[in-house]
Amino acid sequence: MATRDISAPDLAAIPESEIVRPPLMVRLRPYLIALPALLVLIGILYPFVMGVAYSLTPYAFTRPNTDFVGLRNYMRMVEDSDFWYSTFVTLAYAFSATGVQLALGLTVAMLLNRESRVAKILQVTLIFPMMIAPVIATLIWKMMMQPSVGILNPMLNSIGLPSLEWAAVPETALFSVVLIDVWMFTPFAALIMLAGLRSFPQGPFEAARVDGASFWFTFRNLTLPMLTPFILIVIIFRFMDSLKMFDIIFAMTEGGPGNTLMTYQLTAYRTSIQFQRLAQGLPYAIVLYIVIYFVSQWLVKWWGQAQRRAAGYS
Amino acid sequence: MAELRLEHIYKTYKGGVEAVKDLNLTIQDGEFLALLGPSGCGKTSTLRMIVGLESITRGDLFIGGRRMNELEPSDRNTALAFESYALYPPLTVFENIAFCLRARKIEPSQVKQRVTEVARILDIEDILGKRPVELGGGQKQRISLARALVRDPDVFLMDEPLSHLDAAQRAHMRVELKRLHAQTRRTTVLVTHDQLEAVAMAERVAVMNLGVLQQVGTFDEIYNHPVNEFVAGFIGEPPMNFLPCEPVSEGGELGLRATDGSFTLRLPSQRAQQLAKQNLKQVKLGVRPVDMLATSQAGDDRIAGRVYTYESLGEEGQLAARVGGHEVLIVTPPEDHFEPEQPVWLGVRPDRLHLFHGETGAAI
Repeated sequence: MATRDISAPDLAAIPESEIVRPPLMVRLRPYLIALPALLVLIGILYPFVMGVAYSLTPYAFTRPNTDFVGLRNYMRMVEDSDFWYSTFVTLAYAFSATGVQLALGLTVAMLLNRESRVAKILQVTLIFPMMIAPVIATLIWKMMMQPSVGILNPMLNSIGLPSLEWAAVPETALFSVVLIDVWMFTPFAALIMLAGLRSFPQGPFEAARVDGASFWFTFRNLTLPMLTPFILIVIIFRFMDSLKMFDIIFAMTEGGPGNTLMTYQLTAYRTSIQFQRLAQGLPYAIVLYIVIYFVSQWLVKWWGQAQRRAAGYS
Repeated sequence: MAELRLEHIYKTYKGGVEAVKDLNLTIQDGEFLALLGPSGCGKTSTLRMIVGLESITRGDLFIGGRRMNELEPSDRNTALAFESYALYPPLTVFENIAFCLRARKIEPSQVKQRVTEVARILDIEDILGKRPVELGGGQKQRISLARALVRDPDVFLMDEPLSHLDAAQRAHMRVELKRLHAQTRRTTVLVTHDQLEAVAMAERVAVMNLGVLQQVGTFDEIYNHPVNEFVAGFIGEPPMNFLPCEPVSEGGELGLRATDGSFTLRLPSQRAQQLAKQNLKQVKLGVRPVDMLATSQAGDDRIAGRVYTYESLGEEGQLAARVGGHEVLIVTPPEDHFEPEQPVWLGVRPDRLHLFHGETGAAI
């Protein structure tokens, strides 16, 4: 039995004159559509690549020297004890801010997840802190924390607690900025998790009530596994964001007192811009980038898994 | 195990929808009762009030003599198999079934034993490690049943438990559920719109419509002595034929004449006496398709009609005939055949006819 030839026709065998080419605009269209994305990519990649390149030179604004020095800036950074302290502050800030926002946000979301007028009103007011620029919010908090005219200390005193020196002393500086971060972004965490809770089918929770499960039993075995994807969304946004937090700390103390709040971001800014030693500050920014890159990769992967698991796929 | 008693139960939803009106019903300890009715009749609302997922607007609910109105669902010791399964998506089948046992802090070894046993009865042993999302509707429904069965509740409630199973599984589960009830003698309420399910499993049937309980009794009672037109029309397959008639006196005897004049019918003397007492202008004659016969010969007391359609279904035939302006369905023996537009004469078994009030629909 003869097999039919189903291979593609030999294009080279077709005479040039018979090949009909689509009009120019049609051929260009895919490239034109991709062009804006390409421009944006260049806009992001160019400074990034330049940043990496400058970090391999001794470049300073006062002495513009672009000789290649390899990883010398990185070596110096790692040898500096300030770097390890900076790592600690950066992580401490990110973990405590994200952790508190998760716990508070989840509590608020659980409380608001019911049909009542109060819940509806509160849901709207929750968004207010997010509508204020972080710098403005911080300046307002700074005034409230002011030792002589601020309102916070009298409030503490009225319930029998001693006055605090807030961000003015190293002991409470981190607490003070984390407090502002929590105030600003707990509503975000609460709203994401509330949206999650609202998206759940009612059936399983009714079944749990009939099955005689206590609040905590249902929470542990049903609510939490189903809410994990939403919790991870909050973590992805808030942890990434607080790792690179700049505005609240800068507006509050510019990294002080001393170097108490010198996170990667603050150190990079101070060294590169204020001290004008660009190449020495860049490694901090790049290490921060690498940390955020890998942590976010890992979190997003975990998020995908959690989503499948919450739906019941193993 | 306990007696379940509903006294003057009302359910009014927000917006004034009255789902259940003045429901009085007692389910004996160990009894299997089916709550039967068309969709929207209030049967599921009733069920949800019993388990406590819906508040009771008015009236009292007693389980084992204890008033339950204000108790949380978890304190009522009822088990419910949901129609929508309501399985726990992140948990495995085993964990789903074990959930209520673990919630009550029952020992792990006993949990395992009880779950395995229930899984065997419901034939889901091989999927205990899977999660609900990987399973089909029939399997999910059996898990939902297993979750309710694994407990030892005072009252066992099922909301359309067989609706998503295929015909073979359904027949199998009907037998299993009935056998299980016979073994455990648990007070059981089955909510269904399928009379076949109700008949097959339940000892008594309660028929509801538009939030009102119509009739409670054994299926035979309800089938043979329906209290009103709704029950008569809802129970029985194919449904009962209704023909509007008016009582007429003929030579001292009370008979019926069709409102459109298409036929007259003599009544057995007992029925005639009952009808005479009521002194009605309008009645409805109800006859089940199985209580009629169709012939091609005219005869005394036969109703003249014309064949509309005829379906031969193997074991029987179904003949739709037009009598005056009405369509009448008759179940015919398999050897009879009819052609459309052929004239037929319909006979009614006089001892099997039902009479209903022309306006209220109540049985006479």
